[in-house]
Amino acid sequence: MRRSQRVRGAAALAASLLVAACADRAPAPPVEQREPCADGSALRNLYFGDLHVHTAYSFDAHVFDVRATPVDAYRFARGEPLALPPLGPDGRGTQELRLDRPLDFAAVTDHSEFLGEVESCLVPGSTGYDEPACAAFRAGGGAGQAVFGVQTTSPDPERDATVCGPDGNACLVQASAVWRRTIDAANDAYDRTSRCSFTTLVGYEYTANTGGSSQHRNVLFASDRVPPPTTYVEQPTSEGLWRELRATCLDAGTGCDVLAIPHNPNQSNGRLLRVEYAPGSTLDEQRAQAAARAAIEPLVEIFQHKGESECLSGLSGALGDADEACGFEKLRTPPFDDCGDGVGAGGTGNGGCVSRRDYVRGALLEGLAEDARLGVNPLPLGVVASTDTHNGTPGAVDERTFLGHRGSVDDMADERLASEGARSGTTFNPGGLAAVWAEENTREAIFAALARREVYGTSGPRIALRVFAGWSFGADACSDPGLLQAGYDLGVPMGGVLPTRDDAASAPVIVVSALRDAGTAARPGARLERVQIVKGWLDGGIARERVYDVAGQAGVGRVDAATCATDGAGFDELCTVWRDPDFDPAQHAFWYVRVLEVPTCRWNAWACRDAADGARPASCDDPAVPKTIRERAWSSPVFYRPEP
Amino acid sequence: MSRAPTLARLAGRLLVAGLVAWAAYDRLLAPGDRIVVSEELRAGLRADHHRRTGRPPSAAEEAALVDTWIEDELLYREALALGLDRRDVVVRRRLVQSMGFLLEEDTARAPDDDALQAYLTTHAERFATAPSVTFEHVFVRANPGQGVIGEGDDAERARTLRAELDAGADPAHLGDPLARGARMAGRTPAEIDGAFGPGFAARIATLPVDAWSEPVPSSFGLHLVRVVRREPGGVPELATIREAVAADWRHAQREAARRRGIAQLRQRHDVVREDDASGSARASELP
Repeated sequence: MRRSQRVRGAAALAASLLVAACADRAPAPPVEQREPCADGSALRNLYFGDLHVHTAYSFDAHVFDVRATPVDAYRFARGEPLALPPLGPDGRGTQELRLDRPLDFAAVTDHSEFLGEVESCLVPGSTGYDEPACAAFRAGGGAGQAVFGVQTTSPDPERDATVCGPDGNACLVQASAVWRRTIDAANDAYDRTSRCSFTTLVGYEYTANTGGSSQHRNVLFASDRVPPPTTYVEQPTSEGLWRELRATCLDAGTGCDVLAIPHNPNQSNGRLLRVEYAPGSTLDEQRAQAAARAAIEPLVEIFQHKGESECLSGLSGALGDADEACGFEKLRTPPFDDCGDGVGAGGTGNGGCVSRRDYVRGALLEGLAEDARLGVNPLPLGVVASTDTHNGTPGAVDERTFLGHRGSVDDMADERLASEGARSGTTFNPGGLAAVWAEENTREAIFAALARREVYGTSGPRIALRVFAGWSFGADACSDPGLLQAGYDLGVPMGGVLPTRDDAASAPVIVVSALRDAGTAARPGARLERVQIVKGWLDGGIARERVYDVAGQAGVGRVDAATCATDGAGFDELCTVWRDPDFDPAQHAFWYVRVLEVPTCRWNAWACRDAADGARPASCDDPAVPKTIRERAWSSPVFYRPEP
Repeated sequence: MSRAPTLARLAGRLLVAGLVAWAAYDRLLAPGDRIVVSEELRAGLRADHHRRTGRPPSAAEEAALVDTWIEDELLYREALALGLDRRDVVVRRRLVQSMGFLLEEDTARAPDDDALQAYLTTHAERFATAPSVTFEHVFVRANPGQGVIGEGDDAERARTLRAELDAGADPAHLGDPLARGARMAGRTPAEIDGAFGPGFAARIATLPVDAWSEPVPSSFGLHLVRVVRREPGGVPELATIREAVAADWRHAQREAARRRGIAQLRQRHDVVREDDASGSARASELP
């Protein structure tokens, strides 16, 4: 502990140096002055974005020849082209990619841990530039990544003294300059005109890999009034991260607001969404800790290029029928053990046990159990999806134009289509999008929507999904042109907690309205197959789950995996009113909506279709590699709490 | 263990002092042992205290500020004489950064309107906005899964609803709900197509303002559309997007100035490469 306090002192110094260097800048006004948005709507608009984006400032992107900066990434999100690896002789990328539909918002979230080391190793004359560690980093590849990255797996991480000096200070000073550039890039790309065409959030990724189990979080701020990034090196526990975010942001009296979005519980061996309390802590202390966690972490990333984290049938701890739709983009490949109530290690390398908490549904059930025990739910998690691109390409989720997600690791088709062993090319995917219902496209409105969980995730398509839950919606709600107003007046949107039950109501009613992704003229979107409601509840202390088909038709729609042609069947629009037939007012419960598209070609099938004769990778004909997918959207849950 | 933080702390204080009295340094760093406390410096210390604490210093505080400055200056001079600045990596890096800032600030200080206008003209595509339209619509759902939009009951229903609208009915009470809502404000063709499907923006582009349209098909059904207003697109006046242009301009200027400055410095210095320079092109690439 002494070590980390000392290093925090150094970070404070770094911050004061930064302040000194910027002393001639006017301090930010307490409330941002900007034009009102032309697109404002009290009934809320739908915006699509990407909240998980790495650039060359991330140690594990630069070593793989990624050269895009945050400025480049934001320009890409707004529709400008970007050159991707492999690099040509001039050091520039040789493959060009651009979005056919720009994003509405994005957050660059580079790994906070080694911002300074990367800079030091790349700027001649810096501390450590000539040290062997920096030479190895510059040599790149997996060995270069490990030079610093190995610290993220250590329970007692430290900075490389040869690069950062004996106290780590040199790297923290460097990091503050890189962080300033990250903030500037976000501010410069933020559209403050009345067009409100694009919003950026300032953020970073906190990269805890203790024991080889992923416990990463994306930290996102509401404005540009931000503290220096918290890193795993100085704060190697999640409690330390939350404590520091409270001290440097939420309780700092600066108007700072922040939330953290954990991601990839699917490779965390039960650790990321585990609820732990100090031994001997009182119930009140546990309640306070649970409430503090829920306030900082209202969301979880349910899908990204390293797989889906919604559900896995067959794990212990919850009763329910097998859910066939859970077999979707699974990164962990069997065999593996069930962690049971415990935790394991090695998940980022496909090792160790798999826990029910590695999937959002299991974590939500655990939250209900804690709520029943404490009266506070530490895991009332809404959901988003994003890409986690390490190419600086936010929103590049199109299956058909997937060029990889991590520089030279998978910039060639044969690398992406490799299927030998765990975590081979074909186990990854292009990632998904975060969808937000907000009054307007501004930082304030987007952040507020994230905080109240009126957000959802998709595996890539821009499916529009609206959910309201309440006690008094009529069976004809889908024919009511005033549905949206009634939704907010009589109920809560996705992410909400059901209001107090009125005595006459027997069960909650959930209204779901979904529109398919219409796509573009050149690339039409797929139709919808089905809308499902997934319910989780506590039945006398036993966690139960059940999936209800509520609209559409199972099995509609066909795709030919060889040609990727579809039969065009499916639904353009689905709206339904569903009353829970199994409701018990004494039981804690949640409901979330899952919308499935008809089957379409997975990215590898498109690549195989386009592969030249004689250059067809083996995975194209390997039945173990999925060729089609049912893309989907997952809503944030609505929660019900029995009256005490 | 204690040496590095002390040096670092000292460096931090010196940087603050250095920024306060930046202009005075030319004189102060002249040869000789004189340390001059000018009225200008004293005013700078007062102003700095005011900025940090929100109030001017008392007489006693001001005296202490000056004393501290003198002590810092003594230590600073001695440190420079001993060459500590060259050995301290933090100081070295800070000076490198400061010089970089100076190079960049040389041109990036205060763009005038002419410069920004010229930049806006040459980069018009980056700032041009598409025309936008505000409209409301009444949605008529196609019977799910029952064939082609507009060729079934929905077309008949849409015509009936339009007659009601023309007779003055409240659109809020007509038609079916749509997830994205019944009103779109200030949307570009790309955004409209994103919400309603390809081609919809073109279909409503020629509708008259303030009148209910014939049924217009989208990817989801039929829509009776009333255009509220249209805003022309194009490159906005500089005054309305000055901040955005200035940010982009500064970014470009910083890059250019830094490259220019480094190129000039390279000419003034004899850079001798005794190392193996073959692998350096990639390594020195900045993130």
